[in-house]
Amino acid sequence: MRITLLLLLLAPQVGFSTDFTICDRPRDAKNPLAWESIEKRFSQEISDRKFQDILEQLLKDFQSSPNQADLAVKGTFESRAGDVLRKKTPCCPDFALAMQPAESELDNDKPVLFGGKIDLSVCDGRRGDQNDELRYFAHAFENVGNLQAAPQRMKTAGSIRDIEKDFDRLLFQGFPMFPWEALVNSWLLTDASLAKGAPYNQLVLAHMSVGASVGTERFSKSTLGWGLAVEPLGWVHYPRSGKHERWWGVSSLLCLRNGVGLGAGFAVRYNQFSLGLTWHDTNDNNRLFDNRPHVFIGLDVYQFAGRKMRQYSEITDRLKKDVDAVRAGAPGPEAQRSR
Amino acid sequence: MARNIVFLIHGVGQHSTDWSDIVGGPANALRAAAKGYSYFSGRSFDELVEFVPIRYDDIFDRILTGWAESGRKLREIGGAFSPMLDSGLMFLSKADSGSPAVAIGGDVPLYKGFRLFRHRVLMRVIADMASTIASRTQSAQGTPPSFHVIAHSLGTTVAHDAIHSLGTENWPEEPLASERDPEGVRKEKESFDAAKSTGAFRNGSFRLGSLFQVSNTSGLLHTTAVSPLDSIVRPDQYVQTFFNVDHEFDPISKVRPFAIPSAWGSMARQVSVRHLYEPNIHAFAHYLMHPRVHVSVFKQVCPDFQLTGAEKTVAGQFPDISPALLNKGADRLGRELGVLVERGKASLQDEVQEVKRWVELYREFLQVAQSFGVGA
Repeated sequence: MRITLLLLLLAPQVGFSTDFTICDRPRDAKNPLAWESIEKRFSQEISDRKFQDILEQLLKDFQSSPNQADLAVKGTFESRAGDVLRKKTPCCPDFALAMQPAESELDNDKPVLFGGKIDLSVCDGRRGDQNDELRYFAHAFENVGNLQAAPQRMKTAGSIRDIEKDFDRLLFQGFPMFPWEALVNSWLLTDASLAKGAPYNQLVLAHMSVGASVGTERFSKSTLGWGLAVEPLGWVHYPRSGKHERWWGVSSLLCLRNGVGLGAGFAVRYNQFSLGLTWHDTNDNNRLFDNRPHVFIGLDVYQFAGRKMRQYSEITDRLKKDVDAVRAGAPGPEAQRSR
Repeated sequence: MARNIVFLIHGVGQHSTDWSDIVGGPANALRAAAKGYSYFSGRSFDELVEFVPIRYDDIFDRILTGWAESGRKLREIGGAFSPMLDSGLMFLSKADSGSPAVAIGGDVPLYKGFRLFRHRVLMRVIADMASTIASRTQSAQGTPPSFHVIAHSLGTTVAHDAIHSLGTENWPEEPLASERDPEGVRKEKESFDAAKSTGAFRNGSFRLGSLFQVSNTSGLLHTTAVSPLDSIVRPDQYVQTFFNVDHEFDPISKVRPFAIPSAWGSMARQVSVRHLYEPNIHAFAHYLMHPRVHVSVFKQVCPDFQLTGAEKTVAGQFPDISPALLNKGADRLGRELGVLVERGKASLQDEVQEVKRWVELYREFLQVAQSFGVGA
C-alpha cells in the first residue's frame, strides 16, 4: 500500500520517455554534460540571457575533451559550432539529432547529426565514447538555441494567430462575398504574402441583396414593398484599427421591385446594413431622375442567413406581414418598428 | 521529458472535430498498430507521443453553406423576378449538398482558385503549428520535444504550402522588452540571433523532425511560387527527414506525381506499398496499417524504437491482400484501380487540365470503392 502511494506521489516524475540510444547507451540525465546539469551550471547566464557566453564555454569544453578522438568528426562539430558563434548561421536547429532512414523500412534507422555528416551509429573503438559525448554537446547547443528563440517564438505565434483571426473575421463576419466577388478580390486585392494579413479593401461586384423599398413621394404604406437589389460596382473598406470587425462602403445600386420596375441609384453601407436611394420611372416618361427617389434598406442575406438565421427570419417575416397588411389596407406601425 | 509532437493534417472530405481519433482516423490507426510491438508493452503510444490534429475542412463547409443559404434566401424573394436569375440562384443554393462529389469538387477549386480562402486555410494550419511549437518548447523541462507532421492527400499540399510559408514569410515580430527597460533591450539585442534576420520560425531557426507525405498531391496542387522540389520543405532545410508514402494502386497521387530528387540524399525516403485491405485504398488509415508505413513513423517519433527479430519477420510477411478481401473481388479491385492509375499517369497539356483530371479521377475512384459496397 505504501509503495503504491509512493508511486502515485512520484508519478509526475516517473514518466515514460523516448530518446536517442547512442551505441547502446540511453541518454543519462545524470551525465555532467546532460542538459539538466548544463542548466544548473549556467543558470546565471541563462537568467541574464547571455547565450553567446554559454556556447563559447561549451565549445571550449568540447575542444578540450579527450573523448573527441576522431579528429574528422571533431572538426565537423567544431566547424558548425564556430559558424554559430561567428553568427554565420542561426542557432541551433542544426544540432538536433535525427534518425536517418534505413534502406529497408523494417531495419533499424541510425542516429545522425548534421543530416548524416556525423554517423552516431559507428561504435567501434573510441567512437562509442565520442558519439555518446557528442550527443550531449549537440543537445546542449540545440537547447541553448531553443531558450534563445522561445520568447520571440511565443510572440510570433501570437501575431500569427492574430492574422488568422483577422482572416476569419473578414470571411465570416465581414462583407459577405458571392463566389465571383471572392474570386475577383482574391486576384486583385489579396496579397500573395500571408504575413501581410487580411486585405483592408474589397470590390463589390454584382452583389445581390434584398430589402425594403419605400417611395419618398408619399411616405405612405402603399409605396412600401420588397426589392431585389444588385450593386454592380462598389467598394468596401475595413479601417486598420478595427481588426476587420467594422467596415463601410459605397456602391452603385440597381433595385427591382414590383409595381415600380427597375431603378438606379447608389447605396452606402456600414457593416451588414445598407441604405440606398434609387430612382424609378414611376411616371412612365422614360426618365428616372425626374421622380422622387425610393429609399432602399437592405439586410445582407448572406450574413444574416449564415449567422442569425432565426433573427433574420423573424425580421423578414414581420416585414412581409406588414407589407401584406399594408396592401390589405390595414395600418402599418409594425412596418415602421421593424426598421 | 516532454512527449514528441505529431501534427496530423487530413485530406479532402468532411471531418468531424475528433476526426483523427475515430475509427479510420490516423491517430486511431497508429495506436492500434502500436499494440503489435513489444516496444510499447506496458505503455500506450499516447504516453510517448502527443497528437495534434489540425482540421481545416470546416472552413470550406462554412463558405459553401453561406453561399447555399444566400442562394436559397434570394430565390425566395428574388427568384420570381427572372427565370434566369432563379436558375442561377438554384445552382448556388446547392453548394452545400454534402455529396462527396461536391466535397472533392469544392475543396480543391476553393483552395487552388481562391487566394482568400486558401490563405484562411493556411493560416489555420500555420497558427496551430506555431502556437503548439512555441508553447510546448516554452513549457518543456529538460529536453524540448521534436515536432513531426503526417499529412494525407490534399493535406500534403496544405502541409507543404503551410510549412514553406511558416519558414519563409516575414511574420510580425514585436519587440520583447519595453523601451522603458534599457537593460532588457540590451539583453534582447545581444541574445536574439539576428545574424540572418532569422525570425523565430524562419528556415534556419527552426526545423521539423520529420514529414510524412502520404498520397502526395503537392506536386500537382501546390500554390507556392516554388515547386515542392525546390521549396524549403525538404531535408537539410526545414525538415530533418522526409518520407514520401505512396500506394501502387492509388490514382489520387498519380497525376503529376511527386518523386524524391536524388539530390535530397539519404535523409529522404520513398515508402511504397501495394496492399488491399479495403476498397478505399486511398484512406489515411489504410496507408498507416501497413508495417512499412507505421514502423517508419514509430522510428522517427520514438527514436529508440526497435523491432524484435520476430516482429521484423511478421512485419515482412504482411500479406498484400487481406484474407477478407481475397474472395470478394480483390482482383477486380486491383484491375479497376489499375485503369485509373494509368489514366492518372497520362500526361496532359497544362495544369488546369491536370487538376480537372485529378478531380475526375477522385470521383471515379470513389465510385469504384462504393461499388464494392463500402462508402469512401
